[in-house]
Amino acid sequence: MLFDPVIDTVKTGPWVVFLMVMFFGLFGPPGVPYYWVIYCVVIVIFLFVTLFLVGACERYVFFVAMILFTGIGVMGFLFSSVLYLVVSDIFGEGSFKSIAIGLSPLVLISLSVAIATYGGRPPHTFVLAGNKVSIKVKRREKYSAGFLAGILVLAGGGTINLLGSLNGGALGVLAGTSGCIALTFYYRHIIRDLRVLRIRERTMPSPYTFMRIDEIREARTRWWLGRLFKWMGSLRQSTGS
Amino acid sequence: MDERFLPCTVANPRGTRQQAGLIAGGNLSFPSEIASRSFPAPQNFAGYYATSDYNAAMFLAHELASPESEMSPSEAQESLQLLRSLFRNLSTAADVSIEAMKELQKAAQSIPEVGNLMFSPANLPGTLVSAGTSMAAFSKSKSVADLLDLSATDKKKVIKWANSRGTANSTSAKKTFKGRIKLIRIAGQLHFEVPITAQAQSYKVLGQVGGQVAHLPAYGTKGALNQRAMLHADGATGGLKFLTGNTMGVALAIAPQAYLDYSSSTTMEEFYKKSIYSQPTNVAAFAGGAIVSVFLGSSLVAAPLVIVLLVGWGAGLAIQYYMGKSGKDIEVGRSIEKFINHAF
Repeated sequence: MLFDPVIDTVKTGPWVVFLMVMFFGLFGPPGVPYYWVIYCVVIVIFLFVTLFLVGACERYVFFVAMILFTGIGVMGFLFSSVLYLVVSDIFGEGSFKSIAIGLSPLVLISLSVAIATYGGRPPHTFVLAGNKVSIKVKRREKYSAGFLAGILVLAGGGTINLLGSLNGGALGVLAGTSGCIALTFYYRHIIRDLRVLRIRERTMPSPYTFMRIDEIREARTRWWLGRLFKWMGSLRQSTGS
Repeated sequence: MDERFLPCTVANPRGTRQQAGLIAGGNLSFPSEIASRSFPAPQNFAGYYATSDYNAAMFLAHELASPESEMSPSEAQESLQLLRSLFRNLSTAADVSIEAMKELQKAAQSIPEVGNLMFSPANLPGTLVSAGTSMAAFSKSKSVADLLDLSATDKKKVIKWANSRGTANSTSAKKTFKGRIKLIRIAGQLHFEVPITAQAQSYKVLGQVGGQVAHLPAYGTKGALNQRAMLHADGATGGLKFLTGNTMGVALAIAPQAYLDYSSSTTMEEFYKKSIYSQPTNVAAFAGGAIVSVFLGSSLVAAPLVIVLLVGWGAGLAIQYYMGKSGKDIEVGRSIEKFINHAF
């Protein structure tokens, strides 16, 4: 669970997001100069962020926000890129119209995140214990068969066969974008709470950390990555002071 | 190709309708597998089951009284401690009848050696320890025996009793362990008869109370035991695991196209060559859908299933379109061909 990280979440979650960045980055918009150079730079930067998140990060807000928003953002990037490809068929590659329309999924998703962050009063769904924090969300386990069947009938029916490849791409973008917006709407309380925690954190001597930080610390002492960061920390301390 | 030969998938187990993401028909899997998909798979029963104090106490009493259950000495001591605190709660609870309490006491008294100790008039008030001490016992900072409000000789008795568990009856414990899983036949279908663990016997398992065994269908037993569920059975239990670690998903993504290529090829070489150009799209779309499902699934973001399916489906469609439109499928195919030509 991302909002109440356990050892496994810390170990694999950042890597899942890193894989997403790496994989979805392959589907960049065509015709952008130096795209692969930018891609490589982003990947290297993100690799370091991932290593930090797995091996050392103890800040709850940073960890959750980084994973959640990078994941959503990179999906938005994919949909934007594909939509750009779809509309550049109509308005021509590189034209203002196709760029503007192509960017719309990313803009819409960021807008919904912004609305979730700043809109309304925060409902305080988080649980605090000292400076340990976790956010409880519903466990996902069971779904009714009728509900599922409905979704699958909707998804099925030979979308591409019915609509053709061009509309298939547009429909994919539409479905994915609305799904991402639905996700931010669904988790709007959590996004708001993250902001509340962030604001509170500024006045606190130590930032909020995970509810199960003791287990996670213990596990990190067993991973070479965790030990590496510990060693680096001690190195910096001895030279800094 | 036979038009009615639609691919048989998890979402469409009988192959009766067309689905998105599958470019054309595939081949049927084994008949036994298709038949077994029509039967609902059992629910997972591992996990925590809520129970009332009374039932928990009853269970503990029976468990401690049974010479067969495998418990470590420290576990036995902790259970005893928990039983005491439950007793204390129950004796003040309003919704437990005297008859029920008497029954519980009888069960607890049947625990060898220490059962009577718990209810001897001299010790009864003293043995009712607070919930606080039981918490301390669970944190293992102190030996449980030390926390018990007992005289020194009684304490020794408790420790001796706990240590003797499992050793004296080790042969019989072995006997029960041997051949635990039996293969039986119910209404024509094979089932594994898996004994429910001692912990689960007092709980509601598979909708039944107090059953001794759980029946698992013989097909896909490994899957059932690994607590994975397919989409058709019980929802995407456990974070849409069917998409992640499952060879099934890969087969679904690749098999239909492979069948098409195979049926239109005359030689194996031609088939391989066609696959090089046609499969990258499927693999990429599958990977995209899978990674979105992992990210949004219950182990990370835990989004509702609608959103997981919607975004995953959207990403799959978008990637398929992208691959075809940008010509990357041909690009990738060409580089694979080049690589193969160089390598061999």
